[in-house]
Amino acid sequence: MSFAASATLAACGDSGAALCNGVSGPCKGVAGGASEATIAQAFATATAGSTIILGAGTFKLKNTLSCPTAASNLTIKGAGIDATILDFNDQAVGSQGITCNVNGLTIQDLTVQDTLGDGIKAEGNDGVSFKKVKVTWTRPDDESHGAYGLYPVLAKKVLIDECIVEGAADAGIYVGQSEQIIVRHSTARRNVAGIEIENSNGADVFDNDATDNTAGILVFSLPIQGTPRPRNEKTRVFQNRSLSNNRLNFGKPGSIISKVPAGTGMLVMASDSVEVFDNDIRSNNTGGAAVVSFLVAQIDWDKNSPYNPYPTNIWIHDNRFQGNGAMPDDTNLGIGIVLAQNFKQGVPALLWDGIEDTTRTETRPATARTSASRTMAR
Amino acid sequence: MTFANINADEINGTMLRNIQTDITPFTCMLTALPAITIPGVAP
Repeated sequence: MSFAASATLAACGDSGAALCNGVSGPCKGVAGGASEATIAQAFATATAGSTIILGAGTFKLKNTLSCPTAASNLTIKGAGIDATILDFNDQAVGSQGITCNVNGLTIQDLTVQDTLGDGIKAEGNDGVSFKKVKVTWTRPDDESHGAYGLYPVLAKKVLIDECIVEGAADAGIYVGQSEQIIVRHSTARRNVAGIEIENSNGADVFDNDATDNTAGILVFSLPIQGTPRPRNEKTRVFQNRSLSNNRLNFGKPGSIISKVPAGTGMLVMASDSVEVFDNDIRSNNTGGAAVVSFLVAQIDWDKNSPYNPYPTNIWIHDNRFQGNGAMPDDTNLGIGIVLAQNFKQGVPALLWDGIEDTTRTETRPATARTSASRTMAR
Repeated sequence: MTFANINADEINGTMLRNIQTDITPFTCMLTALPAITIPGVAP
């Protein structure tokens, strides 16, 4: 069936067209189980302000679905998580399941599974919302899984709301080099990192569940070559649950994420102005929460770049820690084995690596203040 | 301290500190950060 024939079929009164009933503005409906050509055509011909409605059912796809860059304010809507399934198990071409680099993008109420690379990527968008979207890799843990589930990058006004990501070989919910970000009411499980905010400015991460990952929640600045955002700054992480993140690290060997020890509840690396409060952090075997410099990764970087490897202005307060640090991951060269050797009676709830920027000259406060005393180590 | 000086042996036993008993941060802002809002997104 050709593209033209399938598009005509969808527009001439089959159940696909009926899906657009009640939708204002340009709309393309694609019935559940329609051919790849049909759904690809709907994406390829999307226009500004239009809506693509995907019916309930499973769509078997072998190629990345991508949107025209001119299709601003595009909405892609399914019938619900696990009701509309975009199945990329046989994907042969492309790095992502969906890639839509358009301003004002909304994707909601659908599942993307078993993509060759990342689940859904949105690059450079001014306005991108993922609502009630699930991205999952159904096969057993493997570095061949896509790196990121939800992957907005170099974007502005990012909303991730009521989403689920499972099985990513790097970070399930990843927001990188972006600004004005909200990640809330979402679940990340069975990933290497559950949620990661990286090299971004202004993020609220709250009311999320990060469970059964290698690490729960990461706030990182990394030395990304040529990035317009060399520093992660202004991140709030609050009212989340980071529980039992003890999954064996299955990240790609040699990658930075592969160096994160299993059993990490929360890790703040080389970031500026981060506030972590009112979270439940429990049963993470390596440690509850740690603040570290990039130097612990023991990876070199371009010293001529503006990258600052040291954390600054970190406030961790009023969290609830329980049962963390009982059995640090000493299989992973790096901080995990150091923790295991240094804290044989159990790792404290809060850690700082103590690596200071000796080039800084300002006077330290006469009395170092920390509210860590309000968060009991257990 | 330079990057070249950092390796697991040196970190071991000397660098890691328990933040609850040994914290000497350079700066302690201790100021709540503002909430993030996005136009059109309900809090």
